[in-house]
Amino acid sequence: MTIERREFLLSAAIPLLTFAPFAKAAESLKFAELYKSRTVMGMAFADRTLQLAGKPVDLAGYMAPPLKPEANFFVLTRTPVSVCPFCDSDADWPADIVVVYVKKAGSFLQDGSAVSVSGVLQTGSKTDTDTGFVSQLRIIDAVVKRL
Amino acid sequence: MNPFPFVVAEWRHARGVLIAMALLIAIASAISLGVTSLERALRTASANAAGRFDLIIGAAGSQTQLVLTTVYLQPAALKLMPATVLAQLRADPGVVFAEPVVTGDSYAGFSIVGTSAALASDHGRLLLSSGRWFAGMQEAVAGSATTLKIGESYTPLHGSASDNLIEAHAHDGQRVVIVGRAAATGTPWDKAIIVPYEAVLALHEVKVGVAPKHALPALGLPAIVVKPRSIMDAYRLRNVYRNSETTAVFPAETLTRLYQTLGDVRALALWIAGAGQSLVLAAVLLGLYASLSARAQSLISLRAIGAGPLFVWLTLWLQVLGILLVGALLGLLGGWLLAFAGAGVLSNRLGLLLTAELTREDLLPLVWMLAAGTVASAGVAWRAYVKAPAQAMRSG
Repeated sequence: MTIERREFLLSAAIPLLTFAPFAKAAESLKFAELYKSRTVMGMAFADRTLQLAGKPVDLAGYMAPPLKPEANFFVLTRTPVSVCPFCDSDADWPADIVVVYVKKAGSFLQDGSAVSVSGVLQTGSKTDTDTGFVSQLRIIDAVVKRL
Repeated sequence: MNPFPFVVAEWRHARGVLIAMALLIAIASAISLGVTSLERALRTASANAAGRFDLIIGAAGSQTQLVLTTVYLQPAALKLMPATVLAQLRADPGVVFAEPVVTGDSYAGFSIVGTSAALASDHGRLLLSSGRWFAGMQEAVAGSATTLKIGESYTPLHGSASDNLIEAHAHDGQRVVIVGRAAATGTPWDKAIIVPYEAVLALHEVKVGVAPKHALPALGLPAIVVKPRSIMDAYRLRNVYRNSETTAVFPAETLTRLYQTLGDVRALALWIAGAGQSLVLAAVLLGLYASLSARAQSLISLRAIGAGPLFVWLTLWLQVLGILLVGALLGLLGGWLLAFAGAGVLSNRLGLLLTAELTREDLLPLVWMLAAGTVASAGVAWRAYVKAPAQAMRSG
């Protein structure tokens, strides 16, 4: 009896597990390689970043504190947004942020978690319809894995 | 041959036990449904209430208190930050707007919130149900859940509603007229009286400029709500204004911590309910199995009068399925009632509008239980059917 039930539960659970689309191999991105120059006028995307726009990519980083509750996006940063009392309030921080739009809205992991994000890269200025915020670099349809 | 008359006859036979079993299934299902639905309603409502507040800046101190007092109007004496912070923020190119929120007074049990019409109306997105926005220091807009009518005038009391229970501390000589009523927002601001922030500061003997638009209070401000231009600006401002004088916080940070706690509570409740469901299911199957020896005789008789093996198995199986179905349906109804009643109670307590609803995802545990029960009971019924003649031989 128990065998039958357990097998059934297992088979019922399989479709419930989230699975990432394995359609094409994703290119691996690094924060250090996103931009080619930083000038007073702003930052220019590296050639590879522009080439990868519209293609699936992987990027690892830290989750910033959530800007909106129950949102469908979060912010990925190169270094953790620290809560340490000795860190200075650097006005230029953070240059290295990527906005990540996830497939399913909800509460995110504890901020400061190191995560790996797989999704489609988008470049260029875009205004979020819900919040009115502008962003320059995005990963959409993302699947998030805790590292 | 139709198995249903037999099934119904068997049910009649053991009415009490079957009803009890169905009820147990219903209770376990209702708890898991109700808890899931309520937790989601609470998250949605509190997130909606924080919608207008992207970034809140206050004097260095508790960030949680800053959010609770500014967004949810929980009375607390916030520390004041220098008024120059407001001018600094408004001069920042990354700031769309910066508007103060000043709490602390009340009237007739309603909090008085001093802010700008721009923030209170979410820049025109939140409409008034009647009247107009305040234009001067002696005017106010009443929230939709207050009892104040347009044209009514009042004298503000110093301190929160509970501070004035025993002795009222009126701001004598002040008369404020209600000139508008806000539409319902489903947030604690519905229970507030909204006035220009300059008026609250003036009452507390803070020098304010003549033109309310560009007034700069000398003493200080408890909270400033900021709309950053870009996501980058949001994080930059949060960083810059976390210093020895001020603190900056996204309400989402506070809420996410709350949601984690809520999620833990929900997970615990679901485990308990799930364990309950499994126990009841096991009890139903055991009961079926145990009653077989008692029913072996009738099963034999059924075979003797020419019922096929499939028919006998079906009567056994349908009996269990009936209990499960009745239990699941009652559980669905109970879960909905629980969520509905809970949402009403919590809405009153928190001043948030909770709308309880059941989604397809909530029904998953119920579907699982039904599916598991269906398969398991089919197995048990089969075993029973195979064993029954042998038992009947032994006992007969």
